[in-house]
Formats: sequence, C-alpha cells, structure tokens
Amino acid sequence: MRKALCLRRFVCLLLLLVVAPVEALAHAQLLSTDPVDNAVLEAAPDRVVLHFNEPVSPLALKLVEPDGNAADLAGGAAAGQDIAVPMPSLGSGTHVLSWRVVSADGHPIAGALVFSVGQMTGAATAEAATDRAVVAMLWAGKTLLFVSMFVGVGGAVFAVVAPIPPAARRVATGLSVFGMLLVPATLALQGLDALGLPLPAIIEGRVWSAALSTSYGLTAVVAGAAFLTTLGSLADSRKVAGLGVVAGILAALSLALSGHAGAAAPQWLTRPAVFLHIAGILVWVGALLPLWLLLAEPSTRADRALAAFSRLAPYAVVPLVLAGLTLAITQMGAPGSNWLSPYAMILAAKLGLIIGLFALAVLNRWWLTTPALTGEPGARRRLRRSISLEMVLVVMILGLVAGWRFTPPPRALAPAATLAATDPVAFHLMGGETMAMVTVSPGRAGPATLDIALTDAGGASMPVQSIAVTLFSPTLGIEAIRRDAIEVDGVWRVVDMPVPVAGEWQLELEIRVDSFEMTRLEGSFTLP
Amino acid sequence: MIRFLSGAAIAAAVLAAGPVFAHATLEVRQAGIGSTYKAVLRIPHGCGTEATNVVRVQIPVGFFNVKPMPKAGWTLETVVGPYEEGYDNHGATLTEGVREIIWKDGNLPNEWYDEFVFRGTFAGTLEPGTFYFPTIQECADGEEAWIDVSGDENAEMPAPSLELVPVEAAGH
Repeated sequence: MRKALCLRRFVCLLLLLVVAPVEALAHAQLLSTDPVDNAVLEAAPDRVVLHFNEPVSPLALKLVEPDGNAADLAGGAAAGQDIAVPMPSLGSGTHVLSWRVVSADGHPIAGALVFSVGQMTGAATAEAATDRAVVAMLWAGKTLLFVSMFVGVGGAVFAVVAPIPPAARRVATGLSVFGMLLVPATLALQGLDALGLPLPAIIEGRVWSAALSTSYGLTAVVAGAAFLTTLGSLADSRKVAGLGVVAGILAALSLALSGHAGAAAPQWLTRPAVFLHIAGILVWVGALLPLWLLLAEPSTRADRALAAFSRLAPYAVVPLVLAGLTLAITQMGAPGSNWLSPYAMILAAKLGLIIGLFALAVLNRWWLTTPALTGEPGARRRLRRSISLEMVLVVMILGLVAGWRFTPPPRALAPAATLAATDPVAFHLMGGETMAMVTVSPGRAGPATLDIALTDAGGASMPVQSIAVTLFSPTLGIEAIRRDAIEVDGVWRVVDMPVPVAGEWQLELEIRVDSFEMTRLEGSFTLP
Repeated sequence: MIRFLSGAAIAAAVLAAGPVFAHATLEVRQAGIGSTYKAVLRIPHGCGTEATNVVRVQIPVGFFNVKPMPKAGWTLETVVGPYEEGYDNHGATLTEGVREIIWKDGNLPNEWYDEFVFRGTFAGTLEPGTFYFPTIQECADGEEAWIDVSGDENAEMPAPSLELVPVEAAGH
C-alpha cells in the first residue's frame, strides 16, 4: 500500500511536470506602459517600457515620428517581461510606437502606444519610403498580370463563344500558368510596398501577412482561382464551356475587389462598374489573339468565329464604356487643378489610346468585317493588321493602368489640397442587423474625435452596452490602437483618438449588444 | 487507485487540449444531437492579473433541462425564462428553464485554475455544427467576456464551444 502510494505520487508528479508548462500557455497581456498611452510629456523620453504579465520576445517595433517617418527599433530591445525600447532623440510632436511581441504560446500580440513630446500633433503624411526596385517590379508584375488575365482568361471566355485555334489555346494556357505564378509574386511585392521594405525582405512572414490583410490579398486569391478555372476550361473546352464563363466572372470579380476605383464611394456603384468594365475588356481583348490567328487563312471556322464575335462585341463594349465613364467621373471629380494631377495624366493618356483603339474597332466592325466575311482577301489582311495594332494598344493601356497603382486619384487628393482637409471624414459600417455611421473630426492626422451613431437595419437608434474602437493600418504598418467609446446623448464617442498619420486606416468596432452578445463591424477609411 | 486513474485521465485530457488552454473551453468538445451533455467549463486565468469572482454562462436556445452543479465557495444562481418552443422531456413538455447560470461570490486567483459544471440536453431539432456557450468572467475591476461566436480561428476571446453531431456519429 505504501509502495503503491509512492508510485502514485511519483506518476502524478511526473504528469504535473508535463502539464505545468501547458498552464503557462495563456496569451500574454500588456499590463502597463511607461510613458502611459496618450501621455503628453514635457521632455523626450530616452526609452519606452512595455510591461507584460509574462516574458515575451519582441518581433517588430516601429516608431512613427510626427513627420511620418518610421524607424525600425526591433534591434534595441531584449526579451523579457519588461520590454525596454531605447528611443532615438525625439523631436516635439506625437509619436506612435507600434509593437508586436510573441509570448510563450507562440501567439503574437500587437498594439500601438501613442505619446507626445511637448504637444499633440500629427499633421504629417506617412509617405512610405518605397524601394524603387520594388515599385518597378510591382508595376511590371501588375502589367504582366493584366496581360495574362485578359489574354489568358479572355481566351477561355472566347472559347465559350467560338472554337479557339490551337495556337491561341496554347498561349492562353501558358499565360494562365504564368498568371498563377504572378499572383504570389505581386502579392509579395504588394506587401513590400505596403511596409516600405526593400526586396530582400520578401522572405519575411510579415510582408505576406501585411499583403494579405490589404484588399489586394482577396484580389490575389480570386485571381488565382480565375487562372485555375481557365486552365480547367481550356483543358477541355467542349464539355465544360461554362467554366470559361466562371473564369471570366472570377477574373472580373478579382479586380473589382481592390484598387482605387472599386474603393471609391458610392461602392454600390463603383464595384459593379469595375466588374462590368473588366468583364467587357475580357470579352474584347480575349478575342483579339484567336481572331488574329483564325484570320491567317480563309476558313469557314474563321468566318463563324468572326461573325459570332462581331455580334457579341456591342454587348461587351457598351457596358465597358459606360462603366469606364462612370468610374472616371467618380475618380476625377469636378474640373479644376486636380485634372492636372499624375492620376489625371495617366487617365488622359489612357483615353488617348482608347480613342485610337475604338477607332480601330469601329473600322473593323463597319468597314472590314463584312468584306472579310464575303471572302475578300485584301479585307482579311487589313482586318488582321488592324487587330495586331489593337493588341499593341491594349498592352500599352494595361501598362498605363498598372501605373495608377502609384498615384492617388484626385478624389483622395482634393480634400487634402484645400482647407476642406479639416472637414470630418464620415463613413458607414454595416454588418448583419447593425449599421454604424462613423465620423472622424477633424478629418486630418492628429488627435481626432470619433462619433459613432448606431442603428439597426430599420434605421432606428440601437441601445448597446459598450463599444470598443480599434484602429490599425496594415498599409502604414501600425498595429492596433484601442479605445473604449463613451456614450453621450445616444452617440458613442472617443475623444482624443490618435490618428497619427494620414493614409488608409482600418477601423473595427466591437459592440457589446448585451452581456452575452457581441457584434463586430469593420471598415476602412482614408485620412487625407 | 480509481482516483489515481481519474487524476491521470484528467491530466492527460488537459495535456491533449494543448495551447487552447489559454481560452475558457469545454472539456468535452463533441456531443450528439438529442443527447444529454455534461459540460465542464474550464476557466484558465483571471482578468489580466485579477481574481475571478463571478462566472456567468448563457444557455442558448436548444439546450434544455439544464442543471448546474453547486460549487463550494461559490453562490449558485440561475436565471429562469420561458423557452421559445417547448421541449419534450420523457413525455412531459418543458416550456421554461434555465437561461443563464451564475456562480458568484467566489475567488479564483489568476494563478489558479478551476472548472464549473452543468448538465442538460441538446434538443433533437438542432442542426449539426458548432454550439456556443457564451461565458463571462467578472473580476473586481473588469471582466473577460468569452462571447465571440464568429467562429474566427484568430478570435481573441472565443465563446466556449463544442461540435454537435448526428447521434449515429457521436460514438455510443
């Protein structure tokens, strides 16, 4: 008996020893900071201390200074329960220390500490210092991605309408495979661009997670699916013609999910407009190469394909043009100096090329298609030459469009250029039965007041227990800044919400409807 | 010996649960639709560094005939309310029952661990899928609200949950 007890104790002790480390596996929590969050200090601190409830290792520490410059401070801090971050000499103004640490359970936690030296400021814009090589490769990658998509996926769409010649099928298949490689490549470049890191940083996990958390992440996933579907449909287009349509829809959807154009308000108008615009381009551009190849020799197959495309073209081109005009008008705003911005220059160049493209298209349809169909050899040759010119113009246009990535549209610039910059930024968040109207005032970087008006689906004001507001910016590389809102006359308010730099911010509202029910609303806004 | 074996079994179960131990969780993660279920709710830590004084569990629609287990050192309370639809309990129809369980006036330091037990029956009309028991720990100066039922893997504070399966698959 005594022996059994001893053995029992021993085994239990052994088990406890194994279990003990498991018990330590709670997420780390930030208990306090020095200086405290939102402090206004008289003198610049020589270090900032983050105090956690258990030992943690710093993963990323980034200081955003009042002028928007970001400094990487990860090298200076050692692991431990207190993370002391040595500060460089700080100027006066509002600083943000964005931190990300990992605790024993391997679960990273992150946040941002805001403090000011002398006075609260923050009117600076964070111009992410981007590597030129990254910018050039991102531009090239996007251009190639567009070409792969419109010729590759567009080829599959064409194959739905008419038999696709073997050479065009090979090109479309090759471009779809190439496109699938471009998707992760452009995603990584997007991450580098977002974090302002040079090319060698591409192997870092945060680059990928930052890229995935931007709207381009979703675009990349859907574009990948579009290329995959294209490959499936091209492998056996006769039996699964419907797949070509699915590929086209996915491709159009992917580009509608991100980018300046789809992000403009009102989104119910701009996103479908981008979708129609892209779908139209897919039908048009996708047909160019197959037709060009088919017209090389007279055949009934070529005639049938040409006639089919000619019938279909207006249904693609009319929505394309209408959607394009809608988008251009939303992006450009009223005439003024904004029509001379780099964005407008690209748009003007694109319009110039498009006018050329349309001239060719009109020439093809009204003067060359009918003679070509009646078997006139000269017309066939002229039509072919005209189509090859169209293809060149299309590639040039796609190159220009990829350049838009680097220029903010006038709709975003306009408020920044005038005193209207202090106008509040207002936007809607929606999810399930809950709607929130959020106002950020003043609408510029610096301490701001956030007002949140909650309503249910019917528009009636909605009483809730509490609202916690989280602000973060994957594109600026700033981790979550969290504040609790206070109710004032039916409106939930956060006073002195630090929005330290201009740029694109993500906002998350954690709404306690009652003790046991929580709703989350998410959205993004751009602070000029 | 039996106590030793059960102790070892608990230790092994805790071990198997691994890193999710950081969240408030249920010990048994699966139950058959229409079956009786004993819920063992595990509270792994306090609010930050504070001790837990109150544990509140919401009983969602579909889990009826609920009986909480009293706990030494804690005052047990229940909130009783009408069911939206009646449940058949061995021939009798239940029209009201426990909607919330409250263990209060307790003291569970952050450094310690404890379990809270209740039992009940899953209605036969429930669909297979995740079933949540939103839970709140209240401390002197704050709370830990395990009420996130979004199913998001990265949720900071997920509600304790289990998977409901058709009874054939539950493994009798």
